[in-house]
Amino acid sequence: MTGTLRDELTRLLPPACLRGELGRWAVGGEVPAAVVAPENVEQVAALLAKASQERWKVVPAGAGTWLAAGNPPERVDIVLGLSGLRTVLEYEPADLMIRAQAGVALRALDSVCGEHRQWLPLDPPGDPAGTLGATLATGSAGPLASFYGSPRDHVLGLTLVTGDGRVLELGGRVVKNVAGYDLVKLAVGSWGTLGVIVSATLRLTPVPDQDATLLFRDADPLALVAAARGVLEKPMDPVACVVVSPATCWALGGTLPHASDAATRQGFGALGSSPRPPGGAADRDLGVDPDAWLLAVRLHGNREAVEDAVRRVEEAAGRAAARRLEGADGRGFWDAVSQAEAGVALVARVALPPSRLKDTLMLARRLLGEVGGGNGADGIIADACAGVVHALVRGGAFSEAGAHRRAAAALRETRGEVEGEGGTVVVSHGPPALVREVGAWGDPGPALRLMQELKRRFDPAGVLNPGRFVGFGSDRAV
Amino acid sequence: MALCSAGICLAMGGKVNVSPRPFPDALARDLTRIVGADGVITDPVRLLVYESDGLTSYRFRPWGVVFPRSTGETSAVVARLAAAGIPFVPRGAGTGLSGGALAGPDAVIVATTRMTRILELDPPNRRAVVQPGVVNTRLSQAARPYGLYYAPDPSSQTACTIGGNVAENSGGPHCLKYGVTSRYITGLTVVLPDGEVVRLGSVGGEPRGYDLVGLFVGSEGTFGIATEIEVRLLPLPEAVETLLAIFDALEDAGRAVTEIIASGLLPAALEIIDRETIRAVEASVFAAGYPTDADAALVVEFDGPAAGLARDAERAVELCRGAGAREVRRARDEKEREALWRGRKKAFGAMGRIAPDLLVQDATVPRTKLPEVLRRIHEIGGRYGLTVANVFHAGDGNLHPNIVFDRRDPGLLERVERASKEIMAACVEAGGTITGEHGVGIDKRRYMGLIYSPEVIEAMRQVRAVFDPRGLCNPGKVLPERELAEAGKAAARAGGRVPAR
Repeated sequence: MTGTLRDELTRLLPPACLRGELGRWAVGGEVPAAVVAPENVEQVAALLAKASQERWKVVPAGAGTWLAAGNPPERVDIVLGLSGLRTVLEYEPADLMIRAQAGVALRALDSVCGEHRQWLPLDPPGDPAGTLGATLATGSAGPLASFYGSPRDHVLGLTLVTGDGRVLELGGRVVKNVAGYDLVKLAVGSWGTLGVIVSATLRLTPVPDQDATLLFRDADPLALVAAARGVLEKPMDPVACVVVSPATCWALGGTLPHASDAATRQGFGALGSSPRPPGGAADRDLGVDPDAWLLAVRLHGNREAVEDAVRRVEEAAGRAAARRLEGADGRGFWDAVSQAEAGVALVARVALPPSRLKDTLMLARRLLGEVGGGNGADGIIADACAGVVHALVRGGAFSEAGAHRRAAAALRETRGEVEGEGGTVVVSHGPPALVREVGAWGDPGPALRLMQELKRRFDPAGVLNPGRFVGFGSDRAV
Repeated sequence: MALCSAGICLAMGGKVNVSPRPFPDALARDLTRIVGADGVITDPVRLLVYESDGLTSYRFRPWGVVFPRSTGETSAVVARLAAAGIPFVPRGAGTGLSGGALAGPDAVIVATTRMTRILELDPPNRRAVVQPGVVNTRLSQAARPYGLYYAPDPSSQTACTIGGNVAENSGGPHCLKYGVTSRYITGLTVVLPDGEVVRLGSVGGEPRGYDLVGLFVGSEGTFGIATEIEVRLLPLPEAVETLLAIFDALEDAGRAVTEIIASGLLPAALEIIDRETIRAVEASVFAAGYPTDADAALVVEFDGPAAGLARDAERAVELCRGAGAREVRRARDEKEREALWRGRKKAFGAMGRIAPDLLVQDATVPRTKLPEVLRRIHEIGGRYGLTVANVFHAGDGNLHPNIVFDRRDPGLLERVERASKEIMAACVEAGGTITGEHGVGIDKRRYMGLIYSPEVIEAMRQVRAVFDPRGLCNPGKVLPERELAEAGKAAARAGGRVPAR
């Protein structure tokens, strides 16, 4: 089969499009028979049309930073890389609009827009090499999403190649567009199961005058949760508000870009600048409390607005900030928060309404206790604005016999409890066997039938990411 | 465009009925059993009220109107109609501007106006759950004591309903900063066209399969009826700064807008009305003190925390003056603020008083293309001997070129129609879309091909068929031609087959 498949591919695409290093592109532990990187949209369409005919299974990928996420697919014949489509097609600063191909890295977009003091306010978790296409396909949202919007709120239009190779230009170039059905919203967050996003038109926002982050510390996370709720219940709008556990703080210190830069290190003195386990003597030198949890509140606006907001946040939190970060230091901190999940063995996200943050945090800690390695290296990042708590299991937790069983049971139990209260538990990524067993997404809810019907219309032959998204475990997955 | 033609009438229900078929007793009885006697209207005289929406030139009298009061009743009503193959049309306050809530003579309107309860108000989570008939401003009023409000503010907000806003993905002047309706809907309970009830949405923006909430918003009542709507509320802005800048040249006003955006400021609203509109307003009872010799008036509003707001406003004043404003007024209190807005808010009402007919267009173009498009619109108007009065949400390029006329004037109707087509084509050519906030409805189906390929329109048909496989839910809206013809046929076929009891 592999031989035939590669033969067909060489007939279909120029040789440069066929890649080696198949192992690097394993999805959910399965190595594909072929990896292709088309150079243009026509080739993407031709590939998918052929795949539909031949019933090949295709997994789209950008930089490959999301391959381990979601359910392991039922089968992977071809990984379809979008790295050949990495051009910024159009940038109109006066319209606050940029149009780029899916393979453009998010940070590349940032540097293009930065020259005009504009930005795309998205900070998805994971590897910083992540592409625009992956961010939109996964609909990944970071701490900025509650204030600025999640990925779907920034997309004015996109081009989608369906599972059977139709090229659909959806939406448009303008901010207000209600012509026809909003298929853009359907495509964003559809995990590459309806089609492959090859380009998108995005709405930008002016870079704020000031970008300040206040850090508060406490050994008691619930005190910080109360402080966060105090801030969020006031009529002010921090643009992000997260509570971070001690081990994660250390991890943040270790993953900081330019950590060797003395000024940056000093700016992050509150976090620690090297990946040492808590308790070292050097911590005291830096004035760091190794058992301290952290609350980070981010503020945007002009100078007066931010100064005033700082005062109000401290008042609402009932305490003074331990540290204030500005400019590059602040951005470095939030980049580190986003990257904290990359390379972690398992991430589970527990979501309940924001007012219940205390409960959600306790549930996540309990889950960590049962799933994690218990070595103090596991961590929590709680997005207080969204009410979503991320539990990060560093690694090594599943090599022990019985650990897998315990982890699966704990995940199922927590999920059952949380879903019973209307929330969700998503296993963002984890060891393939474990994710396959418990399912990444949980109960898809009563609308699954509609989703399956939609899937059938866009990908009639079931080519794209089979089983990767919801409904896994049945033959009716999308 | 707001005008009736035989082709459209035909597609609406198969026949242009002069005397409608009587409403079957058995059906009336069944519906009454579900919603109560005062929840069903079949008397042709009383049905007159429902024969148009905000576009008064389209008139189609429905076969009947039913008023459910809950999700359960809505589901039972829809199931009963679906069992008889009767097409139905959801309708809120009937303020729509695209003919979306109109029903043909064989269709029944399912009105949401008795579903007016605010089911849940959850201030700590900045969230509320409402029935579809809740009026937009009423929701904000209810949230106000908690320091919260509902942000999307379409101009009809004192009358239009949240359900209608969901159907149309409504905008309004403040969506420049705050975004449109779809940004504020986090969950829906939907009655599907066969009566099945399904809940869409999740907590914290986490994925729960496809974004069916996002897909449903803006589907113009063709996917089913939302009977419970979960919305996001925002904290009331602490302070507001409102400016009115007067310009001697429309282009200068446009330049001021560009400068303001380029400077990195993000106003809550940026609205322009042109000379024709100003004159119409000042000649009416809504006179707001705008100078009638001005070429354009620009309303700029900032809102947010009080600290730093004055600075933003001052910067905007500087930029307006720099662009050539002859005068900039700044509101010192709420009363003055209302005065500055009045001319803009009463624009449509004022124009409606000048001549019996008003063509309201709604297109969006990239902001940078506004000056060019406005020039073309002016040229087109001149060529057809028509006066075009422009009102626009300058910040996001959403314009309403409005034409007042009297349809009884021979030949005028046709000129207006042709001008309108050319205006639409000019907007699309400039990279715009055919509707920024009013929706497609019946009114703009024929323009869908200007912006979408046949493959995309076919994909939209397929999506619709997932929700409404039998084509009973608001047929004849949104999708052009083929759907039109088939929906008309289906409605005609279905309309004759009410089971005799």
